[in-house]
Amino acid sequence: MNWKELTKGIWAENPIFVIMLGCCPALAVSTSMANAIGMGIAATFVLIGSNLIISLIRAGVPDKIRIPVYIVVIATFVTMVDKFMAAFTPALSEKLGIFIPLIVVNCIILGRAEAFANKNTPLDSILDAIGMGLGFTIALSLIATFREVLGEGKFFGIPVPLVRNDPCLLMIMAPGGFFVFGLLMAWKRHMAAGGAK
Amino acid sequence: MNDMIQTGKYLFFISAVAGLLLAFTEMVTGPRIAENNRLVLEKARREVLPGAERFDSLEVAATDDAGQPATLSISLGFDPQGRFLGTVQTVSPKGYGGAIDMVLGLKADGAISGVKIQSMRETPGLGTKLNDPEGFLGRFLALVQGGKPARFHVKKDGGDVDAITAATISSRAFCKGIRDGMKRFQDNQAAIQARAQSGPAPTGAPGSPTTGTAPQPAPAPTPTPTPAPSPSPAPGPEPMPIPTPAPAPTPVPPAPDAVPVPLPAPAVPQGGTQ
Repeated sequence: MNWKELTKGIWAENPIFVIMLGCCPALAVSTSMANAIGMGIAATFVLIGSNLIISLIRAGVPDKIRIPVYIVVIATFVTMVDKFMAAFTPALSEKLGIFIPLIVVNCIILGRAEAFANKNTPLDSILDAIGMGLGFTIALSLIATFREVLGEGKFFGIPVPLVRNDPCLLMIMAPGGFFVFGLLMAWKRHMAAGGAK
Repeated sequence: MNDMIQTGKYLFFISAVAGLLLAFTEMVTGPRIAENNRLVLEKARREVLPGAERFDSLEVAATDDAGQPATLSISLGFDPQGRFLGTVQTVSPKGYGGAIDMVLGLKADGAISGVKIQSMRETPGLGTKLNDPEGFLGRFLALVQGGKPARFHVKKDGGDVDAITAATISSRAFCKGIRDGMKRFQDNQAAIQARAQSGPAPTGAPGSPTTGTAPQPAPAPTPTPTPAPSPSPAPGPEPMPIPTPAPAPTPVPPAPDAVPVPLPAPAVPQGGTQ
């Protein structure tokens, strides 16, 4: 087992801050912690499934048409997950169902299919998917922490002292998302480059 | 050329497998999803029209957004004694991310008794706050229960509803849904009254809508401000004449608060017809 495939997605190759894929949902859904975690779980789940399937069929796919094939695989998988969740776990579906259509615009999934799963074994691909999913969830949660606390005066829906009465609404709107995103990315690169300077 | 046929074959094969899998998924989950949705709708109906136990659906003609004629269903809610409490209907205004399916309960006098969002595809964290019981939805219900006649437009459009910050489109759609539902109620007052007079229709009831009495003014004026000079009875304890399989009670309204007649209320599971 190659544990590096699992851990690299969390820091060294974090999908949001380093690879910079999936920025659309990262900005749209990072307005509260509950949403960030819900989106993270849903995306991780789909990522694991699509990485596994693509890794399994990688030998047979003609190189020229691999992208359309991946898209068919991912779209089929997302739709099946959506339907089965709605049918058998309606409560979970109600919580996460709203994120499913947003996964369609999540480039991390196609990105990992193309960059990793079509070159590696199924086991490594699953580890990669879990790591990338975790990295995505952590990145979303980090952004959401700042945006929810500063923009809503709450954390996980619980009012936070000091900011609760006078939140900065800008932070939950799109510009606030860009601010937090940019500052966090700068911090990440600063740390990765060796810290103090 | 040969290469093209090869790749074409592969793509065809993958798509066929995907299509088969999706068809299978739909076959397995379709009925269950429909059943889940029905249960959720049933629950929502009871929530938005408190006290109602039995529902009776009324088909009315209407036009959809494209101006095409369509049939819409309004559910009439009755309490266990068969008194008409109000209507429940589904409205689907177009929001930022697609239709917002709302269940709207209106009391017999047309006032809002409750509203619930069934499904929406608004932006999570912004538009989805429509459903926040402590935020938008709570403020909306407080406004409705305040008793003052309110204009169901967002404040920016000259109404009384506080829009959600950064989600004005969703808030506007919500208000439009409320207005659509109220308008549909007013447009179909006569039909609703006729059906309400005839009471809930247990299977094989004598009081079918064809034999129902014509709409007539309620015996007492309604205590709440009605939006229109409607012949609607108050939502309170005015009993309606109830045709049931039991020996027909006299349609004379007894004193308020008195349960009209201890009817052997037919236990209709899940409230009437769908």
